[in-house]
Amino acid sequence: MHLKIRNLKKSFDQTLVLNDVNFDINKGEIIAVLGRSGCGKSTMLRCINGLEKIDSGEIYLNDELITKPGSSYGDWIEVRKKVGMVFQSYDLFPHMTVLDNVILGPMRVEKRSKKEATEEALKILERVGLTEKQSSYPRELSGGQKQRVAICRALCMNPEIILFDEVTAALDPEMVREVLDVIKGLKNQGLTLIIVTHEMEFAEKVADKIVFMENGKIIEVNTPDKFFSAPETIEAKKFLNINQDFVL
Amino acid sequence: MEGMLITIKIAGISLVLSIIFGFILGIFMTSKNKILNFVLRILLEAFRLIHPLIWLFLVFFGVSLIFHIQTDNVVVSIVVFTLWGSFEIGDLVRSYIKSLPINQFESSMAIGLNKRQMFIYVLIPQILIRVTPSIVNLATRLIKTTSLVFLIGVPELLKVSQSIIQVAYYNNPNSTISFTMYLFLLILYFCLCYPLSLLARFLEKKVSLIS
Repeated sequence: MHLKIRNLKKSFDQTLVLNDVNFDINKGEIIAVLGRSGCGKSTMLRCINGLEKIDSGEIYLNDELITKPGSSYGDWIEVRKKVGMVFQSYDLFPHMTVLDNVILGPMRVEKRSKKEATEEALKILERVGLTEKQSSYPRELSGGQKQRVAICRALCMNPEIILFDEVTAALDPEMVREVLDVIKGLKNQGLTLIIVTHEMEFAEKVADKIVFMENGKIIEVNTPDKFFSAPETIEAKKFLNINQDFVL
Repeated sequence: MEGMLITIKIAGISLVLSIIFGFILGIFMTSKNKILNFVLRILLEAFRLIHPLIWLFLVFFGVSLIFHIQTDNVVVSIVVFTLWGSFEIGDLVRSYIKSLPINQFESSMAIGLNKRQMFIYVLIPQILIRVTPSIVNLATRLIKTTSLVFLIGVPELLKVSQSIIQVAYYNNPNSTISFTMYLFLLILYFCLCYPLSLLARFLEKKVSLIS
């Protein structure tokens, strides 16, 4: 088992955001997490790489407990080397060029030489079609380009898992496609992807598994085919209907 | 000319030290330790609200009274101006750290940087870019305020000019040296500060391009 979540609970102030989440992910699986805003999807992602402290429960990465009670900032760095994350608002470093953004992690965290990191970064940038933007600053890029750079930044750390936190939510429709195409291109590379998204069509096409959450709980885990054609739970049916009305 | 050198020396050394200590203070000011925060807050207000002149006298006479040592007035001046400058810059740095979007912290954490690396590679460069225009402005204020140090006996620009005036009057009571000397001073201070002011304006434009 690549990632295992057991009895995960998390609350902000008095509100319970994650209520007893249990969940297994195999290596190389692509998981799409669906659910209404505020159902705890993003919080679950942020717990996996330690941006949020959990209240109780356990998370195992490669059968190793990563949420030890006293785990320090340094312990989380080891996890974050293996678990990359891409955010909704790109969050590139504005004072650095595209290339510097991508090689910062490999150079400083993994202590690789600048030459080696640059070579690999350029390969990755080429894959997402941004070679000619390598010396641009983030402010000179479109939202879609920024998000592709952010994905490169995560990729260049050679992670085992990448967490995508609503990465297309802030983008114009025409840019959504270019970012989703990049994510699609990561399929079949042995990477485990956990994608929190509102793009139903994308989830249906790309994901191996759909995880549907509501009120801080995982309600249904299903294959995309079954989930979208014949969901098992009433909550999922309601959720899909609402979304269809919205599309029509 | 020697007066001018002392002015530049005091302002220059204080400024360099202020930038270094200012950054350290600024980072401490964002600490979650309430006691540390409170103490720094009080000191900041003290240095901001109380006139530098009073601090000059306080340190100059205070130190020699308490430790029974002869205080060097140039050193005292540098210490006072450094303290003042450090707290001013510290507060600027603090406010810039606070105003950085939380995402910058989170994305640094997400690629696995430790806290030291986060400050060195991500936060401080961004703060430095934004804070530089204000630092240059502070430099002009520092240069002007150094005219006060003649009151504790440092022969800086203003003091030297006054001595020249006195000597000139002694020799020739009808001399217009007073006016010419102060006019000369005005030009000197202007020449010292105007390039800095231009630099600040230029940097401000640059910053607006980056953020």
